[in-house]
Amino acid sequence: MEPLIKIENIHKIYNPGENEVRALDGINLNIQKGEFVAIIGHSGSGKSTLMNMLGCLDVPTSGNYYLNGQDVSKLTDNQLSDIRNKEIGFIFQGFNLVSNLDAVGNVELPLIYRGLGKQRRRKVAVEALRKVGLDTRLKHRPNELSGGQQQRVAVARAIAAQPPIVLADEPTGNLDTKSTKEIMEILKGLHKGGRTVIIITHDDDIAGQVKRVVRIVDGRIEDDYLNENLNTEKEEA
Amino acid sequence: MGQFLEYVKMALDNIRSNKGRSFLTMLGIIIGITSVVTIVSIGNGLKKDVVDASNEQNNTVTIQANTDEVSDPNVITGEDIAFLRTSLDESVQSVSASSATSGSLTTRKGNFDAYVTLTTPDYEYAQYTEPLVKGNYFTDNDVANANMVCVVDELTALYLFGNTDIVGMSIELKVDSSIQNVNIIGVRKTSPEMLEAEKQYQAMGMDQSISLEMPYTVSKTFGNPIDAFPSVSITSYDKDQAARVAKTAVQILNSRHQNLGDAPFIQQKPINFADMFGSIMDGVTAFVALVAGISLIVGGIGVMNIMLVSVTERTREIGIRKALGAKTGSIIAQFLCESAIISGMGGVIGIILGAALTALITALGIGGIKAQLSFPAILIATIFSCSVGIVFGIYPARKAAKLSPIEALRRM
Repeated sequence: MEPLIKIENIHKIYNPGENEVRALDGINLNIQKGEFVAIIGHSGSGKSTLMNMLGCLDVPTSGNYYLNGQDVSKLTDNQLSDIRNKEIGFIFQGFNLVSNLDAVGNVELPLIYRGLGKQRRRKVAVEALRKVGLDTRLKHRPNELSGGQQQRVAVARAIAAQPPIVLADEPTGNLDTKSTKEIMEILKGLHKGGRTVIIITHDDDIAGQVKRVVRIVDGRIEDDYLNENLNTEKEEA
Repeated sequence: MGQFLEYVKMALDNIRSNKGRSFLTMLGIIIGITSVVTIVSIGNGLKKDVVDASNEQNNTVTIQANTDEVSDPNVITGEDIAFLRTSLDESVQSVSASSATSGSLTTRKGNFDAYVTLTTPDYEYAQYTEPLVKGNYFTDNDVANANMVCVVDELTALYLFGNTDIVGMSIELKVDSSIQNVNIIGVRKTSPEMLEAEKQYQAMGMDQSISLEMPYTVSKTFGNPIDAFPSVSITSYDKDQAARVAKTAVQILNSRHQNLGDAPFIQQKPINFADMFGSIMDGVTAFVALVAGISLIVGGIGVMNIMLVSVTERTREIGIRKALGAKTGSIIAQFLCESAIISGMGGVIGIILGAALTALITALGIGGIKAQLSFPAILIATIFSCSVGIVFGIYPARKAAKLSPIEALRRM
């Protein structure tokens, strides 16, 4: 089967020339539809750059990125915007909610750019917030919500438009243990529901809860393995 | 269209959550539009006053000999005038001609220099004259017999006798070397404006205005006969009739004086104060409005400034929106809507304030100005203020849209 994500020999080079930085140095990676993947690495390893590539926020210096069979490494900014809107749900470490919009308003954002009408948008947004257990906080603004709640709004925003891929960049980096657990449960639930979920993290505990782990060191994939006994462990816990 | 409304809503949300700043941003536009609307309204009011005033005078036309064709312009005789009076229809109030001479006269109050208008009976109702308050005007009979009678105005009566109850009295009038006794048969009202003007003349040390109106035929008695006039004035009751009457009168005079040429008479071109003053006022108003309009440019720069600050502050929001699928055009549209709405709202507030100021100036009667709101000015002000927002919003909006989402998200 054609993989959902197919990355071929991707390089990303900043400051080409003498002081060039090879953030990504020949990455090859295939991710099948429905996989649950953790991309793990220390800061400076290139994992954030990889996440920007995967999320179509940036284009590689060289190499090819096929998303659903389409080469997205040579698209224009506006075409990339469309891909991000339709194919990818983002969850960021810093939540990245718009501070003067309430929870529903934030979840509606990607739906606005998809061109959904007002009524339908609201319905979809409320439904997504219900899925993350925030249906009692619809009218709250980000500064009226706890960190865990804000991240759940961000999750609702990522899944509202039903994108095939959910891309989470250090989703639990700013959260306490309890909120971390809540968010991980939601992400696992999304995976069970058939979504392709990719988590970028530096945290081995998080990676330990994910089926497939890709370790990045110095812009190269150092390790790519499966946590074999994961399902039974988790079901017992 | 649906998308456009989204951007309007986003812009309104953002303006609402930054009320104080948005208002301060609008202030420049508000002041600019208020001054333009008020100035144009005042200019409009002044112009309308003048145009109305000069239109009122247009019921009198003057026919004169065409000096290009006739060597001596004094060709309109008393018979011509009498004939015109009988030939023209009843829409005509008066047909008169006048000449003038100066003389001196003596009463028990002393000696005076006098201005003598030598004229025809219809002069009673001629243009710019006030009605009689005492006695009667002289008649055709007085003209035919060259009777030594005169009509004076109230001001003259007061100077000559100290009161206006003077019908039946006589004065000794000397013109050139001839001295005649003249009977006063009527007194004309003196207008308040004339009294006011006279006060100022007196303050400047000018002579007292003594004026007499007499049948033109008395000129013969004084030794310097007037047979004909260079022009005749015809006043219609209705100014709409004036042009037609003038045409008829020219035809009549031409046919009575065929020996002078094909068309020896023409209508004197009235000095069109309305057009003249109107265009001067338009020019002045446009200039002052232009100066006020410069404040609109300054206001627009204020809008641009704040929008640039706003883009910097909202870099992260822009990054989020782009990450979630906003295209370059969507971001530009959002920020352009915001600047257009800010300056548009400023424009609307400015128009309301300008209208209020216009009403206030009229109500207080400052300088007797009846300021009149100009709807074209309002329309232009609205379009202009929105354009200011759009023009000065383009740079910040483009700056916002060009941000790379990664860069924008990295900034905290």
